[in-house]
Amino acid sequence: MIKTRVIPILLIQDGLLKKRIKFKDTRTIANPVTIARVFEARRTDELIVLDIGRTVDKEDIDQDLVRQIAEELHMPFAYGGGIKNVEHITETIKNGAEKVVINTAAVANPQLIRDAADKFGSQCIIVSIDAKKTANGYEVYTQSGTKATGIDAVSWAKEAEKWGAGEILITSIDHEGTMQGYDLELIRKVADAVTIPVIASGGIGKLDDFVAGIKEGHASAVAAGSIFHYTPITPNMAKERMKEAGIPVRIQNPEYVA
Amino acid sequence: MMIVDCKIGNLRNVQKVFEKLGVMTQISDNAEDIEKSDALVLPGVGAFGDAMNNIKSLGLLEPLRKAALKDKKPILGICLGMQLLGKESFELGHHQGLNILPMSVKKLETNGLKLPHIGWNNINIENQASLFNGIPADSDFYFVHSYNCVCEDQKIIAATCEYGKRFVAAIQKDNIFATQFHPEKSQAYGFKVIRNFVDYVKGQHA
Repeated sequence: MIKTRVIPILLIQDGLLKKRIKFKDTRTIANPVTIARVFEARRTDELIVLDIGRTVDKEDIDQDLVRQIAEELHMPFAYGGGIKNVEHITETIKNGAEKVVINTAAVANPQLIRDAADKFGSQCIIVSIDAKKTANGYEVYTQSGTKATGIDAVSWAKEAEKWGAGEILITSIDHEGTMQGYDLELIRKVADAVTIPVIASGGIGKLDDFVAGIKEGHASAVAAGSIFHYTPITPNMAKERMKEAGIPVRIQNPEYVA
Repeated sequence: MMIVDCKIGNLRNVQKVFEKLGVMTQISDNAEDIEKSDALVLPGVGAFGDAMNNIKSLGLLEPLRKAALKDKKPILGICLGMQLLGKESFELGHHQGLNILPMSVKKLETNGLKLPHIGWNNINIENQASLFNGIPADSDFYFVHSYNCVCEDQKIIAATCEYGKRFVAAIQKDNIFATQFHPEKSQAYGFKVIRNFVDYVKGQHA
C-alpha cells in the first residue's frame, strides 16, 4: 500500500535556510545543507527545497546549492525557485533533484508545464500554487506571494493538471508560518478538483494538523516547515500520530544497516 | 562499473551510492566504455521516447544489447532504465525499446487510484530473488512512475508491488537486474539492493 508522505519544506534565500510568516518577516535559521543531512539521518520520506530569493526576474538558479543538498540525500527531493525554462529543469534534475517545483513561470507560461512534462514525464513536475483567501474564493499569487494575479486557485489547479503537472503543492499565504494549522478549506477544494496528488502546505503547528490535512483536507501528502525547524517534533512523530489515525505511513527501522 | 548516460537521467544520485559502497564508477555515453566496463547501470528519469532517441543517436543501442545478451555483463536498470530493457513502450506514442527482456511498458492500471504512482510503497519479494537478500519482507521503496513493465515470463519477476492492482516492481534474469523503484532514493533498503547487485558483480569476477 502506498504510504502517505510527510515532507519537510526548506525555504532558502542567499544560500541560507529561512523561516517566514505569511510570506513576510523572513529570518535566517540555519545552513540548509546541514539541515538536509539531519532529515536524511531521520529517514525522512522526501524534501522540498524552495529558493524564495529567485523569482523569475532575478538571477539564475543556485545549482551549487542543488548539488550540495543532493549529495546529502538518499531520498527524493524537489527543487523550486527561479525555474523559468526547460534548460533550468534539465540542469536541476541533472544536479540531483528528483522533481522541480514551478510557480510563477507556470502561471506566466503554462506551455512550460507541457514542455517539461513531455521531456521528463509529469511525475517530475510539481506546480506550486500560493493562494490567499478572498471574499469569494482563493486568489493565486506569484513571485513569492508578492503579485496578485486575479486567477482563481481551484481553476488554476485544474488547468495545471490539464497542462501536464504531476503534483500540486498548495500553500495558504494566510496560514504559512503561523503554526495555526492548514487552511483545510483551500486544501480540500484543490484536492477534490484534481486527480493528481496534492501536497498540503502552510500552517502546521501540532501533530493533529498532519492528520487533518489528509482526513479533512483530502491531500495526498503533508508538508511543513516551522514545526520541524522550531519544535522537537520530527517527521516520524507526525507519522506515528497519522498511523494511530489509520493513515498508512512508512517508518523505516533506523537500526537497519545495508 | 559504468553508469550509462542517456542524457536524461539522474546520474550523480546513483553514482554516490556506489561510492559509499566503495565501488568505482564512471559516467559515460561512449560505446567503447560499455565494451571496457565490468558492469553497467542504466538509470533514468524521463520519457521513454526521448531516452531511446538519445540511446540511438549516441550509437549505444547495439553495444548495450551486446553487453547484456552476448557478453552477459551484469546490468542494473533503474526506473526508466528498467523499462528501456523491454521490447516496446506505449508512453506518449509507441516506441521500440532495447529488447533485452520480454516485456512491454504500459500505463499503470490502478483501479482509479491517482497517477503518477508517487511515493513509498511496500514490495513482495518473488522467486526468492537474490537482489533482495537480507531485506525484510514488506519493506518500503520509493516509486515515481506512471508506466510499468508487463512481463511475459513470470519467472523473471523479482518483486511485485500493489497500487490499485499488482504490478512488477523488480526483475532478475541471469545477469540482468532491474527495479521500477529508485534504490538510490530508498535509503537503507535501497542501499542493500545496490549492495546485492555489487556482490553479484564481484562474484562474476572472483
